[in-house]
Amino acid sequence: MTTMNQLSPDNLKAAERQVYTMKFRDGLHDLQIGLILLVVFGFTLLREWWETWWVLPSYTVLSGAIVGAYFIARNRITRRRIGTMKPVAARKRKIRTGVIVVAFFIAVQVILMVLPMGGVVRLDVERQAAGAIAALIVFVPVAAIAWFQDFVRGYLHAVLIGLSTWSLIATDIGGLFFLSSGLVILAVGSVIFIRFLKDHPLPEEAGDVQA
Amino acid sequence: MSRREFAAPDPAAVEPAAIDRLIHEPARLLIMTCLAVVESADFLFVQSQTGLTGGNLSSHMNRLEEAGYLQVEKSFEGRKPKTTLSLTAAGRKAFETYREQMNDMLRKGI
Repeated sequence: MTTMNQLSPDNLKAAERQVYTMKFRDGLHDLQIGLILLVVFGFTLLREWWETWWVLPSYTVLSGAIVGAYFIARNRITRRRIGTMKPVAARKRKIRTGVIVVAFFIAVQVILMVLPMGGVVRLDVERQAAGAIAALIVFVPVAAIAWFQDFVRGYLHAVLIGLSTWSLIATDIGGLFFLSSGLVILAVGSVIFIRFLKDHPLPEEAGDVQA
Repeated sequence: MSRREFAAPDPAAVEPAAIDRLIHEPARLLIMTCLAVVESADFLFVQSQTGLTGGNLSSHMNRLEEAGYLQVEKSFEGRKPKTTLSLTAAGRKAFETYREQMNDMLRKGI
Protein backbone atom coordinates (compact mmCIF):
# COMPACT_ATOMS: atom_id res chain seq x y z
CA MET A 1 0.00 0.00 0.00
CA THR A 2 1.46 3.35 -0.97
CA THR A 3 1.75 6.20 1.48
CA MET A 4 0.70 9.55 0.08
CA ASN A 5 3.04 12.39 0.92
CA GLN A 6 0.58 15.24 0.32
CA LEU A 7 -1.55 14.43 3.35
CA SER A 8 -0.06 17.20 5.42
CA PRO A 9 -1.93 19.31 7.99
CA ASP A 10 -0.08 22.49 6.96
CA ASN A 11 -1.49 22.34 3.42
CA LEU A 12 -5.11 21.27 3.51
CA LYS A 13 -5.60 22.29 -0.14
CA ALA A 14 -3.04 19.71 -1.25
CA ALA A 15 -4.54 17.14 1.12
CA GLU A 16 -7.99 17.86 -0.30
CA ARG A 17 -6.69 17.51 -3.86
CA GLN A 18 -5.08 14.19 -3.00
CA VAL A 19 -8.20 12.80 -1.36
CA TYR A 20 -10.62 13.92 -4.10
CA THR A 21 -8.46 12.83 -7.05
CA MET A 22 -8.00 9.36 -5.60
CA LYS A 23 -10.75 8.06 -7.89
CA PHE A 24 -8.66 8.96 -10.98
CA ARG A 25 -5.64 6.96 -9.80
CA ASP A 26 -7.09 3.76 -11.28
CA GLY A 27 -6.77 4.86 -14.93
CA LEU A 28 -10.35 3.74 -15.64
CA HIS A 29 -11.42 7.24 -16.65
CA ASP A 30 -8.60 7.32 -19.23
CA LEU A 31 -9.62 3.90 -20.56
CA GLN A 32 -13.19 5.16 -20.87
CA ILE A 33 -12.21 8.29 -22.83
CA GLY A 34 -9.78 6.32 -25.04
CA LEU A 35 -12.46 3.78 -25.97
CA ILE A 36 -15.00 6.51 -26.77
CA LEU A 37 -12.46 8.14 -29.11
CA LEU A 38 -11.93 4.81 -30.87
CA VAL A 39 -15.69 4.47 -31.30
CA VAL A 40 -15.77 7.94 -32.90
CA PHE A 41 -12.91 6.88 -35.18
CA GLY A 42 -14.88 3.77 -36.18
CA PHE A 43 -17.82 5.90 -37.31
CA THR A 44 -15.62 8.30 -39.26
CA LEU A 45 -14.59 5.40 -41.49
CA LEU A 46 -18.11 5.49 -42.94
CA ARG A 47 -18.63 7.59 -46.05
CA GLU A 48 -20.67 10.72 -45.30
CA TRP A 49 -21.03 9.74 -41.66
CA TRP A 50 -22.56 13.12 -40.80
CA GLU A 51 -25.53 12.45 -43.05
CA THR A 52 -26.10 8.85 -41.96
CA TRP A 53 -29.12 8.79 -39.67
CA TRP A 54 -28.08 5.85 -37.51
CA VAL A 55 -24.62 7.16 -36.63
CA LEU A 56 -25.74 9.40 -33.74
CA PRO A 57 -28.04 6.81 -32.08
CA SER A 58 -25.40 4.09 -32.48
CA TYR A 59 -22.70 6.38 -31.09
CA THR A 60 -24.95 7.24 -28.13
CA VAL A 61 -25.63 3.56 -27.38
CA LEU A 62 -21.97 2.52 -27.67
CA SER A 63 -20.70 5.47 -25.61
CA GLY A 64 -23.43 4.82 -23.05
CA ALA A 65 -22.27 1.20 -22.80
CA ILE A 66 -18.66 2.35 -22.25
CA VAL A 67 -19.70 4.86 -19.57
CA GLY A 68 -21.86 2.15 -17.92
CA ALA A 69 -18.92 -0.29 -17.97
CA TYR A 70 -16.77 2.45 -16.40
CA PHE A 71 -19.14 2.86 -13.45
CA ILE A 72 -19.44 -0.91 -12.97
CA ALA A 73 -15.64 -1.25 -13.04
CA ARG A 74 -15.27 1.58 -10.53
CA ASN A 75 -17.66 -0.19 -8.17
CA ARG A 76 -16.19 -3.64 -8.60
CA ILE A 77 -12.48 -2.81 -8.91
CA THR A 78 -11.67 0.61 -7.47
CA ARG A 79 -14.04 0.90 -4.52
CA ARG A 80 -13.21 -2.59 -3.32
CA ARG A 81 -9.54 -1.60 -3.23
CA ILE A 82 -9.50 1.97 -1.95
CA GLY A 83 -12.92 2.38 -0.32
CA THR A 84 -15.20 5.38 -0.54
CA MET A 85 -15.77 8.73 1.11
CA LYS A 86 -18.44 11.43 1.28
CA PRO A 87 -17.30 14.91 0.26
CA VAL A 88 -17.82 17.98 2.42
CA ALA A 89 -20.68 20.35 1.52
CA ALA A 90 -18.45 22.86 -0.35
CA ARG A 91 -17.05 20.09 -2.51
CA LYS A 92 -20.54 18.72 -3.20
CA ARG A 93 -21.56 22.18 -4.45
CA LYS A 94 -18.50 22.32 -6.72
CA ILE A 95 -19.29 18.87 -8.15
CA ARG A 96 -22.96 19.84 -8.71
CA THR A 97 -21.94 23.03 -10.56
CA GLY A 98 -19.56 20.95 -12.69
CA VAL A 99 -22.34 18.53 -13.61
CA ILE A 100 -24.61 21.42 -14.68
CA VAL A 101 -21.87 23.03 -16.82
CA VAL A 102 -20.96 19.72 -18.48
CA ALA A 103 -24.63 18.81 -19.09
CA PHE A 104 -25.21 22.19 -20.74
CA PHE A 105 -22.28 21.75 -23.13
CA ILE A 106 -23.25 18.17 -23.93
CA ALA A 107 -26.74 19.44 -24.85
CA VAL A 108 -25.14 22.06 -27.11
CA GLN A 109 -22.98 19.33 -28.68
CA VAL A 110 -25.98 17.11 -29.40
CA ILE A 111 -27.86 19.99 -31.02
CA LEU A 112 -24.84 20.89 -33.15
CA MET A 113 -24.36 17.24 -34.16
CA VAL A 114 -27.98 16.98 -35.22
CA LEU A 115 -27.88 20.18 -37.32
CA PRO A 116 -25.45 18.94 -40.02
CA MET A 117 -27.28 15.62 -40.19
CA GLY A 118 -30.52 17.44 -40.87
CA GLY A 119 -28.81 19.43 -43.60
CA VAL A 120 -29.20 22.73 -41.69
CA VAL A 121 -25.43 23.28 -41.59
CA ARG A 122 -23.19 22.32 -44.51
CA LEU A 123 -19.88 21.06 -43.12
CA ASP A 124 -18.26 21.13 -46.56
CA VAL A 125 -18.75 24.92 -46.95
CA GLU A 126 -17.22 26.56 -43.85
CA ARG A 127 -14.90 23.78 -42.76
CA GLN A 128 -12.30 25.80 -40.87
CA ALA A 129 -14.83 27.82 -38.90
CA ALA A 130 -17.03 24.79 -38.23
CA GLY A 131 -13.96 22.80 -37.15
CA ALA A 132 -12.79 25.48 -34.74
CA ILE A 133 -16.23 25.97 -33.21
CA ALA A 134 -16.83 22.22 -32.88
CA ALA A 135 -13.38 21.76 -31.31
CA LEU A 136 -14.12 24.48 -28.77
CA ILE A 137 -17.53 23.04 -27.93
CA VAL A 138 -16.01 19.59 -27.37
CA PHE A 139 -12.97 20.96 -25.52
CA VAL A 140 -14.89 23.04 -22.96
CA PRO A 141 -16.88 20.27 -21.17
CA VAL A 142 -13.88 17.95 -20.97
CA ALA A 143 -11.71 20.78 -19.62
CA ALA A 144 -14.56 21.70 -17.25
CA ILE A 145 -14.58 18.14 -15.87
CA ALA A 146 -10.80 18.42 -15.37
CA TRP A 147 -11.17 21.76 -13.57
CA PHE A 148 -14.12 20.86 -11.36
CA GLN A 149 -12.55 17.52 -10.40
CA ASP A 150 -8.92 18.73 -10.02
CA PHE A 151 -8.03 16.10 -12.62
CA VAL A 152 -4.81 17.26 -14.34
CA ARG A 153 -4.71 14.54 -17.05
CA GLY A 154 -8.20 15.68 -18.05
CA TYR A 155 -6.69 18.81 -19.65
CA LEU A 156 -4.61 16.56 -21.94
CA HIS A 157 -7.79 14.69 -22.84
CA ALA A 158 -9.53 17.99 -23.58
CA VAL A 159 -6.72 19.19 -25.87
CA LEU A 160 -6.51 15.86 -27.73
CA ILE A 161 -10.29 15.64 -28.18
CA GLY A 162 -10.46 19.27 -29.35
CA LEU A 163 -7.64 18.75 -31.89
CA SER A 164 -9.18 15.48 -33.09
CA THR A 165 -12.53 17.19 -33.65
CA TRP A 166 -10.93 20.09 -35.49
CA SER A 167 -8.86 17.79 -37.73
CA LEU A 168 -11.92 15.65 -38.51
CA ILE A 169 -13.92 18.60 -39.77
CA ALA A 170 -11.30 21.03 -41.04
CA THR A 171 -8.76 18.71 -42.69
CA ASP A 172 -8.82 15.75 -45.05
CA ILE A 173 -7.20 13.23 -42.69
CA GLY A 174 -10.60 12.13 -41.43
CA GLY A 175 -10.68 10.50 -38.01
CA LEU A 176 -6.98 9.57 -37.87
CA PHE A 177 -6.39 12.05 -35.05
CA PHE A 178 -9.20 10.38 -33.08
CA LEU A 179 -7.46 7.04 -33.59
CA SER A 180 -4.05 8.27 -32.44
CA SER A 181 -5.48 10.27 -29.50
CA GLY A 182 -7.60 7.30 -28.46
CA LEU A 183 -4.61 4.97 -28.57
CA VAL A 184 -2.40 7.39 -26.59
CA ILE A 185 -5.04 7.86 -23.88
CA LEU A 186 -5.72 4.10 -23.79
CA ALA A 187 -2.00 3.37 -23.40
CA VAL A 188 -1.67 5.88 -20.55
CA GLY A 189 -4.82 4.51 -18.89
CA SER A 190 -3.61 0.90 -19.20
CA VAL A 191 -0.26 1.67 -17.55
CA ILE A 192 -1.97 3.56 -14.70
CA PHE A 193 -4.57 0.79 -14.29
CA ILE A 194 -1.96 -1.98 -14.07
CA ARG A 195 0.10 0.06 -11.59
CA PHE A 196 -3.05 0.73 -9.54
CA LEU A 197 -3.86 -3.00 -9.35
CA LYS A 198 -0.30 -3.71 -8.21
CA ASP A 199 -0.26 -0.92 -5.61
CA HIS A 200 -3.74 -1.63 -4.26
CA PRO A 201 -4.41 -5.34 -3.92
CA LEU A 202 -7.77 -6.43 -2.56
CA PRO A 203 -7.73 -6.10 1.26
CA GLU A 204 -8.24 -9.89 1.66
CA GLU A 205 -5.22 -10.52 -0.59
CA ALA A 206 -3.06 -8.06 1.31
CA GLY A 207 -3.96 -9.72 4.62
CA ASP A 208 -4.92 -6.44 6.28
CA VAL A 209 -7.26 -6.47 9.23
CA GLN A 210 -10.54 -4.63 8.90
CA ALA A 211 -11.75 -2.86 12.04
CA MET B 1 27.72 30.86 5.40
CA SER B 2 25.00 33.36 6.13
CA ARG B 3 23.70 33.80 9.63
CA ARG B 4 20.01 33.12 10.14
CA GLU B 5 18.33 35.36 12.64
CA PHE B 6 15.57 33.88 14.73
CA ALA B 7 12.91 36.05 16.32
CA ALA B 8 12.96 36.08 20.11
CA PRO B 9 10.28 33.80 21.55
CA ASP B 10 7.04 35.64 22.13
CA PRO B 11 5.88 35.19 25.73
CA ALA B 12 2.27 35.22 24.49
CA ALA B 13 3.01 32.41 22.03
CA VAL B 14 1.80 28.86 22.46
CA GLU B 15 4.00 26.67 24.64
CA PRO B 16 5.10 23.40 22.98
CA ALA B 17 3.66 21.57 25.97
CA ALA B 18 0.22 22.93 25.07
CA ILE B 19 0.20 21.05 21.78
CA ASP B 20 -2.35 18.25 21.66
CA ARG B 21 -0.12 15.17 21.75
CA LEU B 22 -2.95 12.88 20.80
CA ILE B 23 -3.15 14.59 17.39
CA HIS B 24 0.58 15.26 17.15
CA GLU B 25 1.44 11.57 16.72
CA PRO B 26 2.26 11.13 12.96
CA ALA B 27 -0.17 8.30 12.18
CA ARG B 28 -3.06 9.98 14.00
CA LEU B 29 -2.20 13.27 12.33
CA LEU B 30 -2.52 11.57 8.93
CA ILE B 31 -5.91 10.13 9.93
CA MET B 32 -7.14 13.51 11.21
CA THR B 33 -5.91 15.33 8.08
CA CYS B 34 -7.57 12.82 5.80
CA LEU B 35 -10.89 13.06 7.65
CA ALA B 36 -10.70 16.87 7.98
CA VAL B 37 -11.22 17.33 4.23
CA VAL B 38 -14.16 14.93 3.89
CA GLU B 39 -17.54 14.52 5.57
CA SER B 40 -16.91 10.83 6.24
CA ALA B 41 -14.86 7.98 4.79
CA ASP B 42 -14.86 4.24 5.16
CA PHE B 43 -12.06 2.35 6.88
CA LEU B 44 -10.56 1.17 3.59
CA PHE B 45 -10.42 4.69 2.16
CA VAL B 46 -8.58 6.08 5.21
CA GLN B 47 -6.25 3.08 5.07
CA SER B 48 -5.44 3.62 1.38
CA GLN B 49 -4.87 7.35 1.97
CA THR B 50 -2.65 7.02 5.01
CA GLY B 51 -0.77 3.85 4.05
CA LEU B 52 -1.33 2.41 7.55
CA THR B 53 -1.97 -1.30 8.07
CA GLY B 54 -5.45 -2.36 9.18
CA GLY B 55 -4.34 -3.19 12.72
CA ASN B 56 -2.40 0.03 13.12
CA LEU B 57 -5.28 2.13 11.83
CA SER B 58 -7.70 0.30 14.15
CA SER B 59 -5.65 1.05 17.25
CA HIS B 60 -5.18 4.76 16.40
CA MET B 61 -8.85 4.97 15.49
CA ASN B 62 -9.77 3.67 18.94
CA ARG B 63 -7.54 6.25 20.65
CA LEU B 64 -9.15 9.08 18.69
CA GLU B 65 -12.63 7.70 19.34
CA GLU B 66 -11.96 7.50 23.10
CA ALA B 67 -10.86 11.14 23.03
CA GLY B 68 -14.15 12.09 21.36
CA TYR B 69 -12.44 13.27 18.17
CA LEU B 70 -13.69 10.49 15.95
CA GLN B 71 -17.08 8.97 15.33
CA VAL B 72 -17.04 5.34 14.26
CA GLU B 73 -20.15 3.79 12.73
CA LYS B 74 -20.32 0.09 12.03
CA SER B 75 -22.87 -1.16 9.55
CA PHE B 76 -23.35 -3.84 6.91
CA GLU B 77 -23.23 -3.42 3.16
CA GLY B 78 -24.93 -6.60 2.03
CA ARG B 79 -23.12 -9.23 4.07
CA LYS B 80 -19.92 -7.28 4.43
CA PRO B 81 -19.19 -5.20 7.55
CA LYS B 82 -18.52 -1.55 6.84
CA THR B 83 -16.79 0.87 9.20
CA THR B 84 -17.38 4.55 8.53
CA LEU B 85 -15.21 7.20 10.16
CA SER B 86 -15.87 10.89 10.56
CA LEU B 87 -14.51 13.69 12.72
CA THR B 88 -16.80 14.93 15.47
CA ALA B 89 -17.30 18.68 16.00
CA ALA B 90 -14.81 18.43 18.89
CA GLY B 91 -12.37 16.61 16.59
CA ARG B 92 -12.58 19.29 13.91
CA LYS B 93 -12.11 22.02 16.51
CA ALA B 94 -9.13 20.23 18.07
CA PHE B 95 -7.56 19.73 14.64
CA GLU B 96 -8.03 23.42 13.76
CA THR B 97 -6.55 24.48 17.10
CA TYR B 98 -3.61 22.12 16.56
CA ARG B 99 -2.94 23.59 13.10
CA GLU B 100 -3.12 27.14 14.41
CA GLN B 101 -0.79 26.35 17.31
CA MET B 102 1.75 24.60 15.08
CA ASN B 103 1.69 27.39 12.49
CA ASP B 104 2.09 29.94 15.27
CA MET B 105 5.04 28.09 16.78
CA LEU B 106 6.78 27.64 13.44
CA ARG B 107 6.22 31.28 12.52
CA LYS B 108 7.67 32.48 15.83
CA GLY B 109 10.58 30.04 15.72
CA ILE B 110 9.92 28.33 19.05
